[in-house]
Amino acid sequence: MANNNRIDHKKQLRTGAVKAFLLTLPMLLLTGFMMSKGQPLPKEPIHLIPFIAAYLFINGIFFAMIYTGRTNRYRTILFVTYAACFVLFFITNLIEVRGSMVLTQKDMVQGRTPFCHMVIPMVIIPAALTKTIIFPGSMLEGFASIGTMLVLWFGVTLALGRGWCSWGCFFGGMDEGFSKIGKNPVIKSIGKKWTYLPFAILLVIVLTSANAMYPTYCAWLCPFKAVTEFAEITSAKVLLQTVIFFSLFAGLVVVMPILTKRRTQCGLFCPMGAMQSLTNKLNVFDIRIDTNNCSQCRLCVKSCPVFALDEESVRKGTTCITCSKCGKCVEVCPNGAVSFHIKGTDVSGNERKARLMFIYPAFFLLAIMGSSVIIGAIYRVLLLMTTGSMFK
Amino acid sequence: MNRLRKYLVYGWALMAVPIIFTTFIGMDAWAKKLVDFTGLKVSSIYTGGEVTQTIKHEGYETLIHRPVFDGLLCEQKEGFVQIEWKAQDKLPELINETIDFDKDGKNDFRIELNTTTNNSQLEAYSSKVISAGKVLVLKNERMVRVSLKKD
Repeated sequence: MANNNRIDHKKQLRTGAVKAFLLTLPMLLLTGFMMSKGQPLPKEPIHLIPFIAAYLFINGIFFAMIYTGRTNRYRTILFVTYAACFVLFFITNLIEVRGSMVLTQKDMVQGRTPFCHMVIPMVIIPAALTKTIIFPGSMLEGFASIGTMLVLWFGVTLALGRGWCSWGCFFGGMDEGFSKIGKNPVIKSIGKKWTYLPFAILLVIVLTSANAMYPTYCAWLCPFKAVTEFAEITSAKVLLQTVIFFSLFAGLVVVMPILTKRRTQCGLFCPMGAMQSLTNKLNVFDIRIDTNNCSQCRLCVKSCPVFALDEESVRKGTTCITCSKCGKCVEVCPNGAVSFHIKGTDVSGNERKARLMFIYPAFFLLAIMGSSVIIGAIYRVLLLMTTGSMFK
Repeated sequence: MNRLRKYLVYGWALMAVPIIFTTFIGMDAWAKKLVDFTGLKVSSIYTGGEVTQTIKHEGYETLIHRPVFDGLLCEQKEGFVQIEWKAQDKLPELINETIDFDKDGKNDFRIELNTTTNNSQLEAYSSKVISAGKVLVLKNERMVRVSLKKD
């Protein structure tokens, strides 16, 4: 019976090749426009090849998603590629512009630190009370200015809530990538209490940052400093901070995801993820479980990458507030009981429509964010192959 | 009521693509509007604060920023004043300057800067002045933050 349901559900989400192509057309147009920025295609092969490769890859992924009805499998491929390319793109860019990954005091004073979304929770209170941003970046100029990142965060949050974490965040694909290594989890279960840790970290960093007037998470806890930029080691304090960054990266982004097959950094540590979870309440998209079809097998609970499902939520037919809308639970459910959903509409009968209405904006975000770094990374590789150096 | 709610939620869901599209297309313009509307700026803790005095010398000038004690609700007990020396061409090898950063008519400290070794020496004339930080080296420019405490 369960098997029949599963086959029916998969069939229901699958689309014929012609229809899938027609449904991919809007994405082809949108991504073509956004990737080219409305400009004619570059003529030099070193710029043209990355563009075409990224365009075909991204839209091929979208076609596969529509054609097979599998959201998470294809999202993961693009999301992990995006994260891997981000590291290559960002580091080479930094070295080209600033000479190294090291963030010096000179860079900070000159406002040349790229603003990252992880800082947002920490700047809100000082911004509200003092109208200043406690970050050594630039409000409008340069790469990843504070103004543009705030706009990006606001727009994406309005559209997708915590969907940001599985469709937009350039760090999320790192632990997701490592969680795909190996077949079975060594650590099978993590206590529920650990899922509250990101909220505790969020509270602590918001308060300490407001008090100290500097972003304490960036200074002490961000695991991704290990693969982006970190302060120049000029004292024992900075050395300790750097050791913490690398240890957290190794533990939460590499080792724990391999052992648990989950996104441990995103689900058990990230304060930005915790803040985004709160915005889920305001967002129109969510995941619902049809309790009539649910056999309580707990497969969705065991496989949720960000620990957003538990027995209680499954009984209620919803996810926890921390759901990042990756679609993994939709794919693993043997009864087809889990589906994308639009709040305020009926759970059953609208799965296909709700899924399509969600994956267009979500994939569009991933495509825009991913395309620029994938193009940048392919360009660096081509540059290395043709000139022997990754730098101009 | 249910029907109206459905229209509203589907309307919002349909707006998600245009929201993402306009966010990216108009990102720079939105960012400028946001900054203009809110008046947000980078904290003086990082920028050094506004320049309050400019002292012209032969071939270079000294910029004295406002003392920064910025805190969340009230001023902090400790802060700094940022001093910059900028030259059109090249700074002199030795700079020796007395500074009255709060413009009360009394010199607060004397700072001696060697622009070759980039070492500085501070002589405090006021109890408000604590110490000089590391010299930051920029092209034809040197920058020092002098730690201060409130009276």
